[in-house]
Amino acid sequence: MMLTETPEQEASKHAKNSSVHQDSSKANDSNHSTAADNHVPTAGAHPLRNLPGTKDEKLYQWPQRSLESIESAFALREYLQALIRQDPHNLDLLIALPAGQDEHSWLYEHLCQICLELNYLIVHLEPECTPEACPEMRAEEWKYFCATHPTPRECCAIDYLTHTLDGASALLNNVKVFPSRICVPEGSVKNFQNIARRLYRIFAHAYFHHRDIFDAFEAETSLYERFLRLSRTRQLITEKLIIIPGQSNEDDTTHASTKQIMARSRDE
Amino acid sequence: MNQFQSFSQPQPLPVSEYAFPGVLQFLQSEWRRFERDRNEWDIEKAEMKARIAFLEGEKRGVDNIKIDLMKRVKMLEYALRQERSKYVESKDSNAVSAPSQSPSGGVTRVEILSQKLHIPMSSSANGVTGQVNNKGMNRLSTYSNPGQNMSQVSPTSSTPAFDPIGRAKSREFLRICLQEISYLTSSVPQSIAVTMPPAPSRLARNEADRRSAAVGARNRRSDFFPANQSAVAPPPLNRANSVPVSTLQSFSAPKPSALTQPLDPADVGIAGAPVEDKIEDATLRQFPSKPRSIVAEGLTNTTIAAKTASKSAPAPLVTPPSNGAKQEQEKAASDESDNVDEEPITVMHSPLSGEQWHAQLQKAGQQLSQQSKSKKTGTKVEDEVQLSKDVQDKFNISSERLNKMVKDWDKSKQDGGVVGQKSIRKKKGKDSAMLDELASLSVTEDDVADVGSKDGEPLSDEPPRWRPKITLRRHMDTVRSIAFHPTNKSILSGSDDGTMKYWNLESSLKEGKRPLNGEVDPIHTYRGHTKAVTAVVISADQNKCFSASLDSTVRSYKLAPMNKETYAPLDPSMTLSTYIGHTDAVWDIRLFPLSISSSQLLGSISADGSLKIWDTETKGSPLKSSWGYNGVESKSATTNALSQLPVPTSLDFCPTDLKKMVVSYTNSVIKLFDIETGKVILTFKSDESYDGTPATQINKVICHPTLPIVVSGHEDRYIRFFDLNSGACTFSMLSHLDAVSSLDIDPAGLVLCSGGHDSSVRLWDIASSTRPCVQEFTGHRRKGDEGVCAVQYHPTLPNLLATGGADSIVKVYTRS
Repeated sequence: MMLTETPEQEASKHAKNSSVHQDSSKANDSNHSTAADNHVPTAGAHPLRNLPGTKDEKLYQWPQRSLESIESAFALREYLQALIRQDPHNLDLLIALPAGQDEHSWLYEHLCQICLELNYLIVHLEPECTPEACPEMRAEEWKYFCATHPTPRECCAIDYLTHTLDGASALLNNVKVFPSRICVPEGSVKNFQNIARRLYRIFAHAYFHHRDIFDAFEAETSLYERFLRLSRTRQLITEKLIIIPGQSNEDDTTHASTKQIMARSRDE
Repeated sequence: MNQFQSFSQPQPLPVSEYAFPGVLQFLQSEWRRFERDRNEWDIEKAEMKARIAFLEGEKRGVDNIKIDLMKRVKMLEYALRQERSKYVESKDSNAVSAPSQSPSGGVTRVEILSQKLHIPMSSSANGVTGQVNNKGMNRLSTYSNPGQNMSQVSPTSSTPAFDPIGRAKSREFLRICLQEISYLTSSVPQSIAVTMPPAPSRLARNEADRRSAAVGARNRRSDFFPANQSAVAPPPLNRANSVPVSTLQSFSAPKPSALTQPLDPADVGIAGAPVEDKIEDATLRQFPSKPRSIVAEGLTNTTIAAKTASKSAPAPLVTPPSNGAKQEQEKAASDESDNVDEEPITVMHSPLSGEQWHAQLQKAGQQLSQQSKSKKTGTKVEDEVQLSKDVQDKFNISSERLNKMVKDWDKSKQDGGVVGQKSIRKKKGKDSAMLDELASLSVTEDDVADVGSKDGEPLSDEPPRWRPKITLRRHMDTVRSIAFHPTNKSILSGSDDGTMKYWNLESSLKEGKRPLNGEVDPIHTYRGHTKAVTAVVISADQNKCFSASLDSTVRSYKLAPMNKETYAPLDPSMTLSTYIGHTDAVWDIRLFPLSISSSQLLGSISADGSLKIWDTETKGSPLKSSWGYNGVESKSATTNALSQLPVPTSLDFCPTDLKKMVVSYTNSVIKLFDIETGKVILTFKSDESYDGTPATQINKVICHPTLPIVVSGHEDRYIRFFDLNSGACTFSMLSHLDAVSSLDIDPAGLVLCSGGHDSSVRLWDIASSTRPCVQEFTGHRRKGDEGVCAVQYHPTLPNLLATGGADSIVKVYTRS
């Protein structure tokens, strides 16, 4: 609604990008095919799955498809996952709403994907963020209570992280709240903000208490950056709750640009 | 009846669980029962109406008789008085011989006697002049004791005094009246009874009630109207009986012993006593002995009457009522003994008396017949339902379908019922329509049964079909592997989202029959892998679970206790150890079927081309052995060479030969290895279908739990069976529309379950030589080109099956 202009622009940009990526992936494939028997995958015939026994380097080696050509019920998710596998740092492309898609569904898939990837952040945090090391869920001067319990409770940090993540996964998988992947009920949209607000605390705790892990993970996945930009463009989190300081000038500029967009959309 | 009971007995069980189909079924059965009850009440109502009409008719008839008899009595009295006065006048000198009584006394006595003989009929018949009757009886009894001589004397004296023509007339009239009355009492219920359904078709409840009081179907009447019968209808008759009988007996009391030798006084005494005292009670109480004794009594009476008739003149005076009584009693006896042929007179009279109320009752009778018909239909339907249930049990017909059929039937019955209430006439047509529907219903059942048998279930005890019961939605990506706890109702699932979730199904499986689409939370989420989880196993003996991942590691965790809360504090001791050794994605792990003390082997295969055996219990290095495509011998080969060799895709230990294990490779070869030595025992001839591309590779290989059979699921959509000993392919079948991703054999070893990327789950009867598909259902939605990724039977509990798919969902199926 508000972002009708930008996504179209971005979509066209993305279309170019994806075509470029397609070419590159094909090139990669042909390179690999020398090593792998006489297996020459063709775009149509190659099954879009990792067969048992597939070597790590050949996982997900299938060409990126355009969103329109994906016919499964999980088209958006497949499309998003394929984009992330291509380049997790190309945030503009990742965040942009694909042409003709429902804004909330896209947001939903993004949040699902962020939850999925946060699992791996927690895996990295687990050895360090023990109940002894972090008996309280803190981020900077904030202290959080775990809201997954009937009455919010003071969980230790790792419990808070896992509980929050499990709770978010449960909510996103709840068929009553999100019955369909094609459209999100109006009443369920507000849940995005709750989920985002809580997920943000996972990043915040990692940033303030396990900075090394956070940075390493961020360098690999740009997950926080993706999450932040998603939250800002979709106004999931109010600015004053964003306590992780911007890391670079680039971020500032993107913030400025999103603010501009928001301002413009408000003017309209 | 039995069918009804067996049908209604299982009702209470599902009721307590309050699942939607259970409630629906309960409501349906309740509705059917109410409908049945209503039918019964309608029938009872009609019977009541018929009874009332009959009683009214009877009362009218009796009133007429009473009036008539009173006229006659008065006439006779008048005639007697005339006669007497004439006699007194003409033969005044001829004094009465035996008792020195005054002529006037004699007159009164005769008068009284005549009253005894006639009035009791009328007085008891209308039931109003009972006092007179009692008085007369008393007088008679007091009189008849010394009346030995009277029976000898007064008859001789009084016989000429009676008008023989009038007496004959009145006797004839009385007889007709009695016959009519007896016809009315006996033939009405008969006609009702004929239209009533036979006893066995009645419902058990009522049947029991009725049987407690009655012997035959006809006795239902007496059960329906216990008060009416004794109070209104039979008493006049019985009392009319009782008086002559008692009179007769008192008259002939001294004689029988002398005259009729074969007659047993005891017989008379036994039979007579209840008749005299409370015949109406006796009819209800003494059914077993009654008919015979009454008949015997009747015979006795006749013999006595015959004797007295032959012997003395006054006998005829006594016999007519006794004859009537006899007939009446015979009728009652025949009524009770269900013997219709004994009543030729009744048959003769039936058109006369029948028309009166038959016309009235015609409608009621039709109602009855129709309702009984409809009731028969009802029972028939019940039979059908029972039958269909049997059929369902036998042929695994889906209960949805059965429910639908039952619903259809209910609907039709409801329609029929409503119309039936509006107009009974129309109901007949409806009934026939219903019957037609039933016929078609049974046809469809037959069809279903045929389909069921066509589906090829040669086993008559084949359990019903699998139905989804629980849906577990908490994974964020494709569920790639699932494992049941060997004994508990819990399941472990591994997903592409890098987590492993452990679910307690205990409570979810209990909750009614409704499939849970809902929100079941895992009791624990295991995190540790940094990439997708490819395989999970549970070791119950160790209380551990293992997971393999694309991140090249195998990890072991402590199993979460079944009562753990979803959001309980983290227990750091849950994470046990990580088996690092593989250098590429681990694609499958398998536990050794037996856990020998202090040793539990775990086999893992990896994209690095190696198979590794780990001892998960040892204190030292867990890696026990490792070998590549060519077995242990090739270990000397460089890793480079290993990477060029085919990669293992799946493995399984052989439960039938615990020294061996099978491993499938990307080149579609299955190899049989010796676990201890790591040497190749046998290379299966399984690569005939291999065309050099992964499109024909083997995705899954499993061993039969009890037979030396190896089953492989291929990327080229085939499932192939191999003989473990010879390695020869014994059977090959195109089984899915897309690649076969997963296989499992049920604990009994009879059914093979396969999951395919065509998103279908199929069950194959592997006990049959043709290995037909027993059941097929859509398991999971496709994501990418993946559909069903994992299928698993519960290893010990029957009737539990689970599948995991690309739609991030785990489904648990049950059959019951």
